[in-house]
Amino acid sequence: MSLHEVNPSVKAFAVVISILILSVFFDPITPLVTILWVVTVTFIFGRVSFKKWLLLFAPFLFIAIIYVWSTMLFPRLQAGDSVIWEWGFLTLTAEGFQRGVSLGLRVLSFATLSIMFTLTTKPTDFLLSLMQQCKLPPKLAYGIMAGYRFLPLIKEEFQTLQNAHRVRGVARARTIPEKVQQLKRYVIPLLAGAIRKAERTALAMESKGFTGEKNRIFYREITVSRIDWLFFILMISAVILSAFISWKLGYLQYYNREL
Amino acid sequence: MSLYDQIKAEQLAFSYEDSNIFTELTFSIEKNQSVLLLGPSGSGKSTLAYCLNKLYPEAVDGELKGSITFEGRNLDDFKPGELNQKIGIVFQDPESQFCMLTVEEEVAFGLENFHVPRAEMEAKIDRALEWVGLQAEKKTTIHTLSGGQKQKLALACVLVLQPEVIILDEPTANLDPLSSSDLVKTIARLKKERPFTLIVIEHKLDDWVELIDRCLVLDSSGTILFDGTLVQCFGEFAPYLQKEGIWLPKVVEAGITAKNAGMYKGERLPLRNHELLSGLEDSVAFLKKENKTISKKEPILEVSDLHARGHLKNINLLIHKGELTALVGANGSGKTTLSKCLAGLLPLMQGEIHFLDVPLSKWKEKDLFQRLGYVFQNPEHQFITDSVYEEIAFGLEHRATALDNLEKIGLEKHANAHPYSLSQGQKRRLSVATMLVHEQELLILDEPTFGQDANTAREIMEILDEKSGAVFMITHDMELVDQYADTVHVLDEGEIIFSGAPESLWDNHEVVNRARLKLPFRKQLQKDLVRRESHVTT
Repeated sequence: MSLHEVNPSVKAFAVVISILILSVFFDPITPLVTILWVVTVTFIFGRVSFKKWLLLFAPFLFIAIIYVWSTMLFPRLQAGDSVIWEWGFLTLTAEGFQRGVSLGLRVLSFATLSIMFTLTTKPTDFLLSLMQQCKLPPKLAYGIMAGYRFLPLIKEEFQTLQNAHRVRGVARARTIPEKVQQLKRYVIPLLAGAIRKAERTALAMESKGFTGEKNRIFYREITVSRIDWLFFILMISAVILSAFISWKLGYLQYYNREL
Repeated sequence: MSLYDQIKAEQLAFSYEDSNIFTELTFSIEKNQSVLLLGPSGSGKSTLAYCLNKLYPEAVDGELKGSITFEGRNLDDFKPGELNQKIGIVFQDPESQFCMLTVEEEVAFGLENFHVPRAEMEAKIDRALEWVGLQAEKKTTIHTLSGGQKQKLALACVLVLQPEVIILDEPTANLDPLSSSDLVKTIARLKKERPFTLIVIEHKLDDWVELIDRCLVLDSSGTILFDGTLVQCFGEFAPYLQKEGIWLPKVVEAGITAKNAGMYKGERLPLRNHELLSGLEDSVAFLKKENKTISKKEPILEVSDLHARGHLKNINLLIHKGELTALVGANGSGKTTLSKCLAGLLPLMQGEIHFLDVPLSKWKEKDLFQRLGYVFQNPEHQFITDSVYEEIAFGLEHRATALDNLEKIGLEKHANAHPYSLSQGQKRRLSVATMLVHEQELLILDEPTFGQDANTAREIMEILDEKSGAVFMITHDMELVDQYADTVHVLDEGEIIFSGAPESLWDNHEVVNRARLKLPFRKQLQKDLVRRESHVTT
C-alpha cells in the first residue's frame, strides 16, 4: 500500500478529522504521539524525500519554537504555579513550560498531517477526486487546474519584466513613492498578460466543448475502495489512541482557550 | 447557391467596444473545401474564426450582427458546446490552449465533454495520437513537449472529436521552419485520408499552397477584398494584397519583383517554383545576390567559452561593428537564453563576455544599457510610462529629439496615446524605437518580426538595416537571414554548430538539417534550376 494511491478526498477527510480531534485536546503527549505516528507513516508508506519534507517542515518548526519560547518565558502567572527558574522579569514555571510545549507540538502535529497530504497527492488527482467524490462543480475545478498551470508562467513573466525594465534603464526603486510607481509598472503588464492567457485558455476549453456541465464522464476514474476507508480508520484511531495514552499518563486536558 | 454550402455567413458584422472589427461579410464555404483566410493584422481574421465556432460573441462583450448557418441551421439554434464537436480549432499559442497535465488527459478532455463512454476513450485517444505521430508521448507531461509537438497535440485534441470543420489560427507561428512544414504535411495527409473542411489563418504561406483551393481576403477595415480561387488570388491579385500588407508566398513575391524588373514574361504570377523558372527570361541574372561588403571588421562583443544555465555549452562567438548577425536554431535550442546572456541579463556558469573590450561584469548597469539595447519578444514588457511620447523621451537628455524619433517610426499622431492602446505592429515599432534613441552600439532582438504583418516586418527590418551600430537578432525566418544578415550563427542543443556567412550556411546541408532549418526561397529556386537544367541536358 502506498499513500500516493489512497483516494485524495478520503485522505483529505482523514487529515481534517484528525486535526479537528487534536484541536479538542491541549497537552503535550497527544500531539507528540500523533506526530511520531504521522511521520512514520509519511516516510514508510509515502516514500517521501526527506529533503522535501524538511523544507516544508522547517517554517512550522520555527513558528513552534517561537510559540514555546514566548509562552514559556512570559506566562500568565497563577497562584500555585511552581517556579523552576527566575531571572529579572523572566519567570519559568512548570505549568508555563507544559503549556508552551503543548502549543508547539500542537502546531507541529497539524503541520505533519498537512505535509503528509501535500507530498503524497498530485493536485490534478485531488481535483479529479473532488469532482468525482465530492461533486465539486467542474467549472471551479478546471478553473483551479488552469490557474495552477499559470503560476510558473507568471513567475517567468515577472522575471522577464524585471529584465526588460533594467534594459530600459529604470533605476532600482529606493523611496516609497518610487516603489509604488514601480509596483504599478509591474502589476499592469502582469495582469494584462495573465488576463489574456486566462482568456485564451478559457476559449480553448470552450472550443473543445467544455460547458461546465456537471455530468461528465471522466477518462481517469478516481475510485474509493475498502483500503481507502481502512486508511481513514487507521488515521483516526491513531489520534484517539494518542489521546488515550496521554490520559493513561495523566496529561490529557481539554483545550480551554489557552492561546 | 451551391447545395453543398456547409457554412454560410450573411451580412456579418462584429463590433467590440464601439469599433467595428469587420462589416458586411457575406460568403459561404463548401464542404471539404480548404480555405485560406488572409488579411493584414487587425483585420479581424481570428475574430471571424471564433464567430464561426460560436466562441464569439459570448466570450467577449462584442456585438454580432447578421447570420451564420452551419449545414442549414442557424448557429443560434445550437446548444452550448454542440457546435464544438463539429467545428474544431487549433490556436496560435501552444502554451495557453491546454488545461490538463499529461498528453492523454488533454486528448481525453474533449471526449469527456461530449460524454463518450469511458470504454471507448482509450482507443480513440490512441488513434488520434497515431494520426499526428505522438503515440510515444501518451503519458508525457505537456510542458516537456517541444513547440512543434504541442501544436500536434492541439491538433490531436481536435481530431479525436472527428469534426467536420477544422480551423487553424496561425498554427505554425511559434514553430521553427522544419516543424512548420511537418505540421502542414501532417494536415495534408490527414485531409487525404479523412476529408474535412479546412479554414486556415496563416502568415507563412509557402507550405500551404498545395493544400488550399480558395482564398478569402479581408482588408484592414474588415471587408472582403477578394474571394476566389488560390490561383486567381495570388496569380492576379497579389500586387493588391501586397499593398495591404498581406503576406504572400515567397514565389509570388519573387514573381512580382521579376515582373516589375521586366524579367518575368508569364501571363499570371507564378505559384510554384517551376512556374517561376519557366517564366523567367534570364534566371541566372535574377538569382544573383548582391554581396554586401564590410570594410572594417572590428569586434564589438566577444564571447569566449561560455557555459550557462539550461544547456548552453562551449559558446564562442564574435559580433562585429556595423554587422547584422542572426541567431537561428530549432525550438528549444537555447537561442533566447544565449541572447539574454549576451546582454548580461542571465548569470554565466563559466566563460567571459567582453563588450567593447571590457568584461560584461565590470560594466555599470546604467552605462551598459546606454550602449547595448535588448528588445524582448513581447513589446508590452518594455513599456514603462503612460504615453507613447514619454516612452521615447524616457532617459533622454534632449527631450525635443523624441518627436523626431516618433516621426521616424510613424507614430507622431499617437504621441499622447497609452502604449497599450496601440496596434500590435505599432507596439513592436515603438519597442524597437525606444532601444534606438540612445544610439546604442549593439542592439539585441528576440524575434523582432514575430506576429507582424508584411509591411510592419519590412519597416522593422529597414530600421535595423539602416542602423549604424551592430545588430544581433534571433529569428526563425530564413528569408530575413538571407536578405539582411552578414553573419549567421546556428545553435543546436546549446552548442554553436555553425558560424559564417549565410551563403555558406545554405551550402552546408548537414547543419541545415540538423538544426531543423530550411533553405531560403532564393536558394531553393537555384536548386530547382540546377535540377531542371540537368534534367534538360540528360
